[in-house]
Amino acid sequence: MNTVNKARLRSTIAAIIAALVAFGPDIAELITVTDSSPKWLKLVTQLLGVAIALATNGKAVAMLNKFLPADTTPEAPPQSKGPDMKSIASILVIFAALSITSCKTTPNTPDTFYQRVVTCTQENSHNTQAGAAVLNCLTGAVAGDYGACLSGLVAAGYWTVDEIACLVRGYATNAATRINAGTPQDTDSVVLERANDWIRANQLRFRSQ
Amino acid sequence: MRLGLRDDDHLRKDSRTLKLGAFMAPGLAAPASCNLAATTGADPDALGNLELGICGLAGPAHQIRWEDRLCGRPETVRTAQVIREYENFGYVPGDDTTDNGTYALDVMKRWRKVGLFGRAPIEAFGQVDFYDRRQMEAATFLLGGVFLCLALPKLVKHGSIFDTRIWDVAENDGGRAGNHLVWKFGDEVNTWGFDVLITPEFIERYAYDAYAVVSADAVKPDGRAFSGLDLAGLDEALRSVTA
Repeated sequence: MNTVNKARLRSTIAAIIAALVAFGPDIAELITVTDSSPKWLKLVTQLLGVAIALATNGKAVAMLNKFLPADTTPEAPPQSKGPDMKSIASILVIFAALSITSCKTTPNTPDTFYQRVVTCTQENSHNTQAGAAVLNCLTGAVAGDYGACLSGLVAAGYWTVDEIACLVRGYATNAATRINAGTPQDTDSVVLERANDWIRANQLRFRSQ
Repeated sequence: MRLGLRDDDHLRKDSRTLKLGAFMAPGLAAPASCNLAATTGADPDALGNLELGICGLAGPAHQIRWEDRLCGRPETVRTAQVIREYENFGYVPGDDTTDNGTYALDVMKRWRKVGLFGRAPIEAFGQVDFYDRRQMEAATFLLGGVFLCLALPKLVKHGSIFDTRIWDVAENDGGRAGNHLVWKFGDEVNTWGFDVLITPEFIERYAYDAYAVVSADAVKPDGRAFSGLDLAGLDEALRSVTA
């Protein structure tokens, strides 16, 4: 591949990554996958979830820089003005997402968590991988709105509404206990505040099995 | 299933009763939702409330049983002890005419003065503002639950008050079933041996009183409650307010 095409490819991929960062969490909220969803939708949603996660945590950019580094040698000036790749990439990402959401067969729900009655069990309240992802959302380790981040974890198909909600409540409980005991961790205040805001805003109700 | 707070329980007032909001420090932390029974499990024992109007005592008994499980104590309050305590409120075993229920405030006062079920007295009790959702959250988490006094309707959103496991407001509530005390340990309450999800809207519609107690029975070796709360400090504040 020559230098000009490499640069154009790099530019296109960078634009797609930027679009995923900008619109990814919103796109994730639009998609609802259930057990009865078609397999292709589940697969596409999972791939999209992975792409959004890689874009928002910076790993996509790191991989781009590794495999398609920016070329520092000056290019020959282009013969003609090419299309605006960033705008085209943004439009392509949005168009793909809209296509997926318009084709899905499950009914639209206003929000993944809103007014849900959540059942917490021993089994669904201690998933360490899910816990790490939830904590990343609550502590702001993942860029963007933490509420959309939490919704994205369900939209990506990794974990259920109950798992995520129960973990959020668990983190809030542990943070509150440490704060009251005078032994808070650095992130406890922000975790407690965000978890509480999120639980109240979604009007979640928790029950035991 | 029986209820057990007297019909005029909502009229039983004492202006000296401590208001929890007056001394809860603003810096205390609480989750928006908790489940005190997460590690101890559900309590399936109705403690006599299926046959007798004994809810005013069954509620405190449920909390004490939870404390015992939390602290790993092998012995706990049983139905027989709850019924025996009922005798201190006028009940005569075998005489149904004496099964008239209790007043929640009288139960709290006895719990404070001499204790219930042969156990040690609580340090204090206070009224919780059940319209203040943050105060309800804090009291539930910090003080081991809230005792709700409810003028129960006959119907809730999903059917009969006695059959459903979610208490939410119904458009037509079928009129009054009677007064009932339940122990709220999270988003759920324990009643008649099972857990019922109760919505804040239901509480705000049907509650007429709510209490929380300060019990030194469920503390860790460092003297703190399992919520992290320093009960010794709280106790000192309460003693300066209560008789």
